[in-house]
Amino acid sequence: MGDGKENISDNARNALSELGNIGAGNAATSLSVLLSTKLVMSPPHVDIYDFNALENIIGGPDATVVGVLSLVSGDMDAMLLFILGVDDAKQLVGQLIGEDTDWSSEMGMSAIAEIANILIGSYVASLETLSGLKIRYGQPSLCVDMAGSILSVPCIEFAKISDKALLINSQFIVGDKEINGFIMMVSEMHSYDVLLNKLGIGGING
Amino acid sequence: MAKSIVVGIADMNVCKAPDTITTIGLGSCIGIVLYDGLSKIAGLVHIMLPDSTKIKQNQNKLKFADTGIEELVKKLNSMGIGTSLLHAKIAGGAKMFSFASSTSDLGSIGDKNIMAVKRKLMSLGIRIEAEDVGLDYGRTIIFDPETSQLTVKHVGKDNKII
Repeated sequence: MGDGKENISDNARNALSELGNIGAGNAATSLSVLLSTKLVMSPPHVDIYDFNALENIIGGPDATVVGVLSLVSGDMDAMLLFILGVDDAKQLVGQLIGEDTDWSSEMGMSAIAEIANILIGSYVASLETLSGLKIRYGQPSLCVDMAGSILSVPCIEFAKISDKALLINSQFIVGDKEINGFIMMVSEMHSYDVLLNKLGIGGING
Repeated sequence: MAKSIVVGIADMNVCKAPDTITTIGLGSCIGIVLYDGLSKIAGLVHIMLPDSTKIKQNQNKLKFADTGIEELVKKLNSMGIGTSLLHAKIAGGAKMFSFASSTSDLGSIGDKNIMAVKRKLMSLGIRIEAEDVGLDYGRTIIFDPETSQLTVKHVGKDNKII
């Protein structure tokens, strides 16, 4: 595309991976305490995706997913998006408030929103601690819909500055239940630069 | 055998009956179908943002309502279909997440997209025959040039034909 955004440097990639790792690690610990169960986290992926490839990470554009989005503001602007497949949402609600609770009931939804809130909160807290940036995050908003529709929200933000989206992506496996959830941080390019500068790396390209 | 042609995000394509054309998972984005009922040819563009002139990174014309619609009209013109023969059906422009107070235009991008699409189509003199826009849910759309019907699918709701 000639916009240079594919040229994310190895340094920048490693730093963002590490941030994602620590952020998601702390988030995972919080969730593990809440569910009183073991929680395994896969190493985060930092990658640049074509808009159309993004949807396929989460089971295709028409797969129904639960998305919880929180806006991050302050020294950097970003979105944190927590995504769960429907089966995973069922499992998570089952573990949290009991197998007989309907995940899509008000009770189930508020449990998922609370989990997302905790995950997002710990993610933001580690970002703040590591970077020294002042970051606020807003009340998360929850939505159950097609993966494509939900992902279009961060994609649109990205579309303003690039034809591709940069994602820090972490995956969780809870207990023996293999609940797969994703946390994505999607930020404006200049916010990545702010963040990487604070960590002593020039910016996204170098 | 009739094919179903899939259009991705910030992408466009055309089809002729008996083929159909589809785009999956429209959120705040909008799918614009332009069709000619006589030749039974239709085109679909999946736009993300309202205005290419407000954005520096605007090489990809299909990302925007203004330039995306222009490109699709050009493509259909090149197939011998004059702009005056074209009709439009549109879907999308939802507000997927709601925030009580937000300084970003995150919540309103769907509405801005709807306005921009309508403005562009009006300026080209293309009539909108049907629409399913706004509200708070995602949409998958399938257009059949044979019948000029647009099927709109949502999660947990019956299909809607417009």
